Amino acid sequence: MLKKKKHLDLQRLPEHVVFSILCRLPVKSLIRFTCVSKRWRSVIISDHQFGNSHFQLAASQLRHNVLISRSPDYISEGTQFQSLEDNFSIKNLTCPFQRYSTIQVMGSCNGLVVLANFYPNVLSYWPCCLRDRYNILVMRNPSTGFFRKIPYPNFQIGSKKWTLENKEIRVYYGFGQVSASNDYKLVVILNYGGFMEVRVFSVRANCWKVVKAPYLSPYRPWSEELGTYSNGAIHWVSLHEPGFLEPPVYAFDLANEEFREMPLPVLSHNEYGMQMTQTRTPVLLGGCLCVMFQDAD
Amino acid sequence: MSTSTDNNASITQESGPSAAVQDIQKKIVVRTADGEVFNLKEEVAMEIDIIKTFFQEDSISYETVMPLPNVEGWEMVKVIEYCTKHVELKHKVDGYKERKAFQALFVQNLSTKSLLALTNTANYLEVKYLLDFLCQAVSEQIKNKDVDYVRELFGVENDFNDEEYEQVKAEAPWAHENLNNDLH
Repeated sequence: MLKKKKHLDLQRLPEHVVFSILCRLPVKSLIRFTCVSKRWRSVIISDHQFGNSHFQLAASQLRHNVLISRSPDYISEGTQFQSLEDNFSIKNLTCPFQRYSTIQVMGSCNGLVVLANFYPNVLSYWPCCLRDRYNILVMRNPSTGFFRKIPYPNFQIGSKKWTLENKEIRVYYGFGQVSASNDYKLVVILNYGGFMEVRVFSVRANCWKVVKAPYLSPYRPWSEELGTYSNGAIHWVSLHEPGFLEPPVYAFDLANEEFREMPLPVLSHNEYGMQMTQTRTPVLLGGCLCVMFQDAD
Repeated sequence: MSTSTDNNASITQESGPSAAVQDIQKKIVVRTADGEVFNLKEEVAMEIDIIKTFFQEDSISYETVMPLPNVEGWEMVKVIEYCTKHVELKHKVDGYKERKAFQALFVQNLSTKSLLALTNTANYLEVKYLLDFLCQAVSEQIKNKDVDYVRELFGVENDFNDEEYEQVKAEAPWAHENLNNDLH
């Protein structure tokens, strides 16, 4: 720690101080400085602690940007994603996808957005992680960030291509942070006729893992494809069938990679004595998991 | 001979240990790399963790002159200036504007290289809030500079060969545009 300082201009700052300076830089500058040296490049792009510090610092300045996704179907000439800036201007973001592909947002957490590319008529998706903390853009000229490709997971059903028309197949997914291990995980679940396959991708480990599927009792398809991240777990709510037992909320704990169940709150009845609720959507409000109940009509 | 002002620590030109011990307020004495000696008010000195630890951990008498071989005289002046202001503003309820104005003046006549040297010193002396402020100040100054400037400033060697460099640069060519390099 106590280094003898040279009186020449060759004085070197300790690395942690250098990176403390760097993590206060806007994204455009950071991207440029990945060309300074291999070490800088490695830290800026891959070091989790650095990324975290950068995010925390920018977030503490309370500046947020909103990602706009237009027409979730085809991207043709324009860009599908845009960013609403501080001064209410719109900035186009570029994505490393080919044209004429359907891009699905598979989840977002702390400024990281996971996008999947669905080729038309073929469910072969290729998730990749938008490593641009666009929602913490602090600088006046925001920019796009890096993309990190996530390899395609192996599903048992999966190596042959099958079409989106096949209504029996449902895909559920979610993305969230595992704070204890400073990691982010993406969970993808394939559901065909009640049989489920679960895969979990750890950003830190950069690999997929097979996880035991939950036993759904009673079996009911889930209402939303995109699970809601709350308190370290991804949550899905089942579709309701009047007259039948209410299935629980299913939560996938990202830290220990297990499913657990939570009962839904007791639902009220309307004046006709019928349960009011037809659709339910889990949402995150004020840090708490909430379920929105909506009457079908 | 020592001269003291109301707010700042006094600066002596002697090479020997200072004899400025005041009855009213305790002073701590440090000597920087270039032989300058500084008398700090105790409350200001205690903002500097390395000094605080030195005297408190082993209950060293304040008559001892603490050597700071990694700090230059001009840096000490700046550090004392900042810490003194910080202590002063601690007791103020609404010091935000004043702090901002002070901070702007503080860095006004410092070159980026000097700022960097000061950052190094703040890290060595362990004054967290000063270090944070200086890191922010340096980042403001370098954010629109190009790769060569930054390499030179931080003394980082380019270990990319020409081909590799072009490759990484091509990942985001827009990031290398619209820079301002005239304020070297």
